[in-house]
Amino acid sequence: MAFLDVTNCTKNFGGLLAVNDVTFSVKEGELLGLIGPNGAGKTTMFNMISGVYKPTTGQIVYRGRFHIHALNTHRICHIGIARTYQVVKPFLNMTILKNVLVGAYFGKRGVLKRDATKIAQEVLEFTGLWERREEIAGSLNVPSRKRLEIARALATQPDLLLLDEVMAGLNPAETQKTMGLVKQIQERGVTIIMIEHVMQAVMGLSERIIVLNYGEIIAEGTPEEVANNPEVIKAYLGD
Amino acid sequence: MKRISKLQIFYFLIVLFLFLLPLFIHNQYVIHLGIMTFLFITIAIGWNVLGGYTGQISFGHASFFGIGAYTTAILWLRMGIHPLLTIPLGGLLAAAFGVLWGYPLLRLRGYFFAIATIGVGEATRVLASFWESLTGGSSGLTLPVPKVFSKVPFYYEMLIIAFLVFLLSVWVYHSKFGLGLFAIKDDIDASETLGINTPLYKILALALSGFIVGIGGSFYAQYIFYVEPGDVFSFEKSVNLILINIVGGVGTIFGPVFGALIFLVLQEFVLVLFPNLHLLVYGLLLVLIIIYQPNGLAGLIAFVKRKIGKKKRVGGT
Ligand SMILES: Nc1ncnc2c1ncn2[C@@H]1O[C@H](COP(=O)(O)OP(=O)(O)OP(=O)(O)O)[C@@H](O)[C@H]1O
Ligand SMILES: [Mg+2]
Repeated sequence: MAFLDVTNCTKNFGGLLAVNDVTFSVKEGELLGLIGPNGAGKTTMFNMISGVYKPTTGQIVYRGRFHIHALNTHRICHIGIARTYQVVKPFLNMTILKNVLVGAYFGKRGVLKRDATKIAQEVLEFTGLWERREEIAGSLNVPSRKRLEIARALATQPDLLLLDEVMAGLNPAETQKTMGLVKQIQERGVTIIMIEHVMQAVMGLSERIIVLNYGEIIAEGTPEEVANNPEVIKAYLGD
Repeated sequence: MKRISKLQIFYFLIVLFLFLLPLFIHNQYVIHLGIMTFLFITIAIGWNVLGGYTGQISFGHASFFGIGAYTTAILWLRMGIHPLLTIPLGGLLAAAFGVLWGYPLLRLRGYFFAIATIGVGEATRVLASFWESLTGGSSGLTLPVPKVFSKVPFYYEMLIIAFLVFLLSVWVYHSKFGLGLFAIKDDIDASETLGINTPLYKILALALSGFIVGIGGSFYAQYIFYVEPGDVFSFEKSVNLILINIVGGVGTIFGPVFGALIFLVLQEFVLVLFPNLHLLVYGLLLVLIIIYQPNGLAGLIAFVKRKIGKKKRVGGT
């Protein structure tokens, strides 16, 4: 039994099969890349793993005993699954610190104020946001919001982290920085699934990559295998 | 040891002044104004916990006020329970009522929730008007007025209630619970994925909000000695709570305090001078605030304080 088992998962949006009979598993500690053209169903897959949507059919089992579809979204966070949103969702009227405190306080059950503050400080220092902690999230630019999104998810102290295009819209230097951050998060023992369009980033970071197209898995393997797979090349370039 | 700041001394002096006021002011009208101000501060804070902290705008909060008022009137009149004892009951019944309709309605988002609360408020009023055997119908219930009657005890009752409710609202504002509520207000999806039990938090906020407003209603009944659906359940009362908070500053600690103060001052003084003009003045103020200072007077004061603080720092060093 793997860390995360996705079995025959389908998500049907009124006739549109956003995810179609997808099966894969994730090993503890690995960094799995999830790629595919626009509309392939990647974010929908994350929405199902994080409990935002329930699969139409199929099941997702975490650590061999948690059936995701039977849990409320906030409970899924409590058992150690955190995510970022592709379209970031910061608490716009709160400071960076407060944003991260929310994750620290609520991510696990029964966290006390003193501990939450410590976690938040640690995460903010780790993500390089500590100096800017009093800035209001609504005043941040996109790269900073993306970073805050990661920091807030980390503050919930996840074991499985779902990153949805955290490099989109970053310049090369920022991309490098975020890649370093992701690598460090993995080294801390967090299992990561990363959706990414920035090929240099997924190829560089992932140990294994799954390619989705029209809701189905069309390839799976090491970065080299996937990059040389004719199906994948066709999906990306069109016929 | 913690140092006592100038601000804390200032707050302390204000509270002290309010507690001593009846000793040197014997004008019953002024005492009455004080009582009504404390009452409106209290119920405006109640609305703010749900509308301001949690972002769930309710147009139906008069239902809590009415339930509090009728709880006291009925228990006092029919069962002879001392009215002071009915205050917590009025609050609890209002809270329970909130849980009852909040459970289905809090799933609605944004405007849909707000519109549904109009229905709740109006339905409650109509129900109270028709359930004559319990409520005395639309002509209301008259409570026994004592022969010797002083407003001063009521002044202290309401002052203490307002003070405690204010402290409660400050505590909530800074607590983990409050952080959860403000998170829900900003983004409910992100809140849920970050581990907040959003349905539970929303319903707790509604219950607390209803409890506070219910307490206010209960006090009102024993102070006015008369309850009538058209008054305690009125839509106008619900709307006033929103206006007070917008003028004072939605979601701020002092918003309901400032808003209620201004509302009563305008109502009493402008109303006396130019009947009905107070609504016009209030409406004007409302428009100005929405355009120029969305955080209300509390936001304006914070803004001015920041400006002064900046000047001081620039000049000082
Ligand atoms: N809530 C929804 N209701 C209806 N259709 C949806 C919904 N969410 C996603 N879809 C559709 O499902 C398909 C897959 O969308 P999804 O967002 O998962 O793609 P994606 O792989 O993340 O794409 P991108 O790379 O553009 O982010 C798309 O056709 C999308 O329009
Ligand atoms: Mg996507």
